[in-house]
Amino acid sequence: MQETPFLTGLKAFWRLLWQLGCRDIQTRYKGSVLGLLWSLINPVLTVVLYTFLFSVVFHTQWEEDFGPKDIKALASTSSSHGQYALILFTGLMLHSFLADIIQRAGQVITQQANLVKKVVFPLHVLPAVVVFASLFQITVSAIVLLLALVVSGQTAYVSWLSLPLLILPLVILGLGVAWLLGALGVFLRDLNQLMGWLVTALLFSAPILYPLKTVSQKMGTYLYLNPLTYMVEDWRHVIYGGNWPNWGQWFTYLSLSLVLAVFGYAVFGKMKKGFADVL
Amino acid sequence: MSYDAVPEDLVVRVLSVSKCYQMYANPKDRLKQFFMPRLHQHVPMMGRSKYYQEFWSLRDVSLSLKRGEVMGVIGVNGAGKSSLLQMICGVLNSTSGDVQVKGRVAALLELGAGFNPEFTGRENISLNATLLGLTGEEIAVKTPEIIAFSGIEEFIDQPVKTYSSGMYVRLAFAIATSVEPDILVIDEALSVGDGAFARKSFDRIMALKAQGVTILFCSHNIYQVEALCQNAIWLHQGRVKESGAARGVCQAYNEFLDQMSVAQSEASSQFEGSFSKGSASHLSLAPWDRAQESQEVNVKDTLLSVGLEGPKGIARIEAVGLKVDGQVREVLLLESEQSELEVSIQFMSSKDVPIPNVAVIITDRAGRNVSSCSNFYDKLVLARNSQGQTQVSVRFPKMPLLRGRYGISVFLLCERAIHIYDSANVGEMEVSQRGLELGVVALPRHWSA
Repeated sequence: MQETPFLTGLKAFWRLLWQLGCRDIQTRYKGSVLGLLWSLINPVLTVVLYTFLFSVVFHTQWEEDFGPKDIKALASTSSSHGQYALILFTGLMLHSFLADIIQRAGQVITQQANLVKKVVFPLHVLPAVVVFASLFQITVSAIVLLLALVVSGQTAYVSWLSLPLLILPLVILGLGVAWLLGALGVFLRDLNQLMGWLVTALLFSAPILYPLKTVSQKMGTYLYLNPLTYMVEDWRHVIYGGNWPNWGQWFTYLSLSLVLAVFGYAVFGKMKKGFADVL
Repeated sequence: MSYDAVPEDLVVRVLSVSKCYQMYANPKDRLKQFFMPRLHQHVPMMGRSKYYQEFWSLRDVSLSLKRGEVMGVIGVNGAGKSSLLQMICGVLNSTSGDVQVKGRVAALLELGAGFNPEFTGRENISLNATLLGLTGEEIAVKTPEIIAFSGIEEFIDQPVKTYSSGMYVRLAFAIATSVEPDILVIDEALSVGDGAFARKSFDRIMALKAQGVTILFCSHNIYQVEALCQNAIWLHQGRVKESGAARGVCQAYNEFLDQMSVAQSEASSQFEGSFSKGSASHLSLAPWDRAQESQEVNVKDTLLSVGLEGPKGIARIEAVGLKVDGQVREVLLLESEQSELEVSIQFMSSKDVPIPNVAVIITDRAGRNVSSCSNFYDKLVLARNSQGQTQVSVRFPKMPLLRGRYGISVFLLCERAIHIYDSANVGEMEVSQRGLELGVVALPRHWSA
C-alpha cells in the first residue's frame, strides 16, 4: 500500500523531532558531573528559594480546600513549609514548562542559520524541538513529585492517570507560542529582550506563589487570562485532591490552544520564506 | 514545489525563474522598508518608496530536464549558476517563476552543511537520511553501506566536530549519493576528497549516471562538461545566453572566454612574463584546470622529480622531462618550424585502477589553450611495469607554433580521460621565428606558382 505524502512527511517530522529532541536534552547537561540530575536539582533549588521568601518570610498560608481528600492529611508528616513547597513545586513546574519555551523559541532559528540557508530542512521542527525538551523536563518533574508524595504517605489517586491528558492543551499552546516566537525572533531580535519580563509576568499573574482565593473574585477572573492559572488549579486538584479534571474547561483550553497553534504554524510557514534573506 | 502538471518524463522544470536580492546599506534601512513605503504612498514628502539596491542574480531562466538527462551549467563567476542550483535543490526561493522537481534530489553543493557538529557521524547519517526522505528501515539498511563507503569506520561514533575537513566531506558525499537519488546536483567537482577517495567518488557519480540518474552539473571545467553532458546551458549575468547540445554551447562559451582573456591580457600586458595564472586567474581557461590546482615545477634535470609531496594515492606524476632537439636545456628556446619539443612523462598508478592516460596542454600567455593532446584520443594504449610505473613521451617535430611564450602542463587522467589524478605545470618555452609572419600557428603549406 502506498503511503500518502502527508503521512510520510508526518513520520519524517516525528523522527526528526525525536532525534533532535533527544540530542537537545543530552547536550544541555553534557559535560556536567551530575548530568541529567540537574533537571531535578534546579527546580528543587528554586522551590527552596521561593518557600523561604513566601512561606518563611511572608507567612503565606495555603488553606485551600483541594476537595474531599484534603492535603491537610499530609500535615501530620510535613510542616506547613513543606506543604507550601509541594504545592509551589506543582505550579513552578508548569510555569517553567512555558517559560523555557518562551525564552528559547526566539533564538531557535537564528542559531541554526546553516539549516535555513544551506540545506532543505523542515524548519517547523526546530521550535517543536524546544517544546519536546520542555515536555521531557516536566515529565521528569511530575514523576518525581508523585513518587515523593507516595513516599511521604499520601495515597496515590487514580485521577493521576489523567495528568498526561491534562497537559495536552498546554503542550499545544506551547507549540503555537514556539512557532510564533521562532518566526518573529528572526526578524525582531529585540523581542528576546522582552521575554524575561514576560516570563516573570506569567509567574506572578497565576496563582503559583499564592492561592487563588487571596485575590478578589473580580481579579481572580482576570487571572484566568493567564493560561497557567487554569492549568495550575486543575493540576493541584488532581494531584492533591484526587479529583478528575474539569473536562469542560479542559476542552475550552484545548480548543483555544489549537487555534493558536494553527495560527502560529501558518505565520511560521509564511515568514520562513524570508528567513534566508535576514540570517 | 508542486508535483502536478509536470509532463511524465520531465523531472526538473524551471519556468522563467528570476531571483532578486534586496541589498540594504544598513539594518535600519531594512526596518524602514517595512513602514516607510506605505507612508510614502499617502504622504509623498515623507520617506522614500525604496531603501534597497536591487540585484538580479537570475532573470527569466527556463530549463527542463528529462529523466536520465545529464545537463551542464556553465558561465563565469557571478553568472547565477549557484542560485539556479540552489533553487532546484529547494534551498533558495525564487522571486518570480516556478521550479518543479519530481523525485529525491541529492545535492553535492555544500557538502556537510546540514551536519550538526555535536552529533556523531552515525547520528548525522540518520539525521541527514531522514531529511532526504528515507524511512527508519531504509536508514538501518543504508547506514553500514554509507559508513563503509566513507571509509571512516573508526571515527563514526565521534562527534563530527572532531573530524578533519576531508572526513567531513567523505561522510557527506557518502550520505548524499547512497540514498538512491533521482536527481543529482553537482557544483564544480566531479570528485571529492583526495587520492583513492577522489577516484571512488568519481566512480560513484559515473555509476549513478549509468543507472540513469538525472544529473545537473555546474562547472568551470568546460572539458568535463562536454565530456559528460548531452545538453548544456550557458548563463551570463543571470540570463540564459545559450542552451542546447553541449558541444555547441561549450564552443560558444569558449569563444567568449577567449575574447575576454584577450581583453584581459591586453590590459595587463605590462606584467611581462607573468603566466596565465596571474592575469586570468579568475577565468582559468585550461581545460583540465580548476578541478585541481596544478603544481609549479622548475625544469632542471632530464627527469625532474614532481609530485613527491603531491597527492598520495592511486596515481601520480612522478617526473616530467623536457628536451629541445634531443637536448636538455635550462631555458627552452625553440625555432618555429625547425625545433623539436619532446615531453617525457613518468607516472605511477596502483594496480587497482586501469592504466591512466596522460595529456599535454600548451597555453599562451593569456591562459588560452593553444593546443593539447592525449594518448587517449590518439589511441595509444599504455602499459605499466611490475612497480606500477609507466613511461611515455610525445614529440612535437618542427614546432608549428609561431613566436611567443607558451606554457606547458601535463595531466594524468583516468581511463575515460575525465577524472584528474594529478597535474603539473612543467615549464614554459619561447618560440622565435626568422620572418615576420603573423599569427599563432604555421600551417603546413605548399606554394605553387
